[in-house]
Amino acid sequence: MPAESRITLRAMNTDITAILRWPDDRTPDTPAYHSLVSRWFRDVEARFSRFLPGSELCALNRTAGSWQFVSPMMEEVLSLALECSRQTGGAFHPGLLRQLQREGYRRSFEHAYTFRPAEASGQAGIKPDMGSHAAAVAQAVPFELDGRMGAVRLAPSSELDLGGIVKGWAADRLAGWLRRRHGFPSGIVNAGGDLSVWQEDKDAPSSTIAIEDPWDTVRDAARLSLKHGAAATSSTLKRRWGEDGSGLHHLIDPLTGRSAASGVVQATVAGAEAAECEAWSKTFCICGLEEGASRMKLGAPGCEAAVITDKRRLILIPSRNPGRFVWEPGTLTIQEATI
Amino acid sequence: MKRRIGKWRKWQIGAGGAAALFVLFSTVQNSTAFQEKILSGGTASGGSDSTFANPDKLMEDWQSGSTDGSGSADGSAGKPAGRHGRRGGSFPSEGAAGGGNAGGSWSQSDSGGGMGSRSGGS
Repeated sequence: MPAESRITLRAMNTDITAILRWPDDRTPDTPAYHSLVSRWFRDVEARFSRFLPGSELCALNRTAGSWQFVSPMMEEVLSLALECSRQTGGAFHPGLLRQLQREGYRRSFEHAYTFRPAEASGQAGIKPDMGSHAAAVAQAVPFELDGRMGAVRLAPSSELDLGGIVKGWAADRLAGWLRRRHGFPSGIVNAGGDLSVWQEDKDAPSSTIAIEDPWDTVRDAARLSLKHGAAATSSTLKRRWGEDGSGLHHLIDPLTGRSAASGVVQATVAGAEAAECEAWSKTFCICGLEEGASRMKLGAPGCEAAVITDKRRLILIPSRNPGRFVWEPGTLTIQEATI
Repeated sequence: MKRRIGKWRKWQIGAGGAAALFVLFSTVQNSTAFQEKILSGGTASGGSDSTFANPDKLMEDWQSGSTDGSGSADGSAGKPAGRHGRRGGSFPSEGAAGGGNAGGSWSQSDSGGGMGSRSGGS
């Protein structure tokens, strides 16, 4: 029977889990991989955190308007962010840090009890967003990237928040490396619900991903089975702050500059890469069920989504090639989209 | 006559070379890899060519500690972090780097069934 290592840690203010199944001909060395996985996620956090003044991201955010050389990791994540923004029609937008701060999310989330929107706290220096479509379009490309030079130039007054996409990217990168270079035939790397799954044995059973019920987080709204691929979940009911009914949360609609209010409370997207899934799950929460489905069918026809609305309905958006992902109901029944 | 044949041979070589170049460029341009590169943003916004050629180069550079910036490696990769299944009782909060302390926990078991994990809003 193959040995399995299970590694858990906390980094990037979220729970990280790696499950690695060892090949029969190797002696398991779980501590070594615990160290490796920990180091990877802590290094990623140190580079991409917007709360660490010494991080590369914070340094970059201080240089809007001028060209800066960036690390290969930063270049890759920025390239990915641009691509996700393009594919989602701008719904995924990495340049909304100021809007997020204006909503009150200025410190790490354990300080959420102190969060107040700018108009309530009278915060100086953060101007109200006019919410015009033209303004959003103008902000659609928050930076230029020169891949040959490894340099980036932020648009004037633009600041980046890469928190969402980096978790998925880090899971994708580590999972691919463990599979190709370290020879693990199957495994899961899960960074706060953005996860990458691989299984090289076609006869082996699929992995099962429990989809959290957004109203009862210890229960499963549904379950997803897959052998190879990725999934990510975004929710407007997580990372909320303010008084009940204030509607303030961390998913910002680029068209309004405010917390999204689309009727979608949670979306889980399954696809090839966790970072891509993260961008699409956000898109559903921001744009709503129908617009999100329409964009995903155009931009990522291989992805599938389980979208939960504020009416407690779970709608499944199938991909062009059904069968790769299998969804089972949990606390919510699954209805297939008629969009 | 000899000179005429020589000239004709040069023309043949030139035309053959041009045709070979055309075939080479067409092959590259129509290759899946090239198309994927174009779809992913091309050289202007995509990753570096070395990353494209070796998808694990970035990770290998990271492991060897050659990546620059604040995400410094502690050099402990590949070395056992401890002999017990649980390490560290507290985690650094958001905004605090690990600083080389592994933290977290690990376990090892025999398992033959499907694996499982959980996804919720992050």
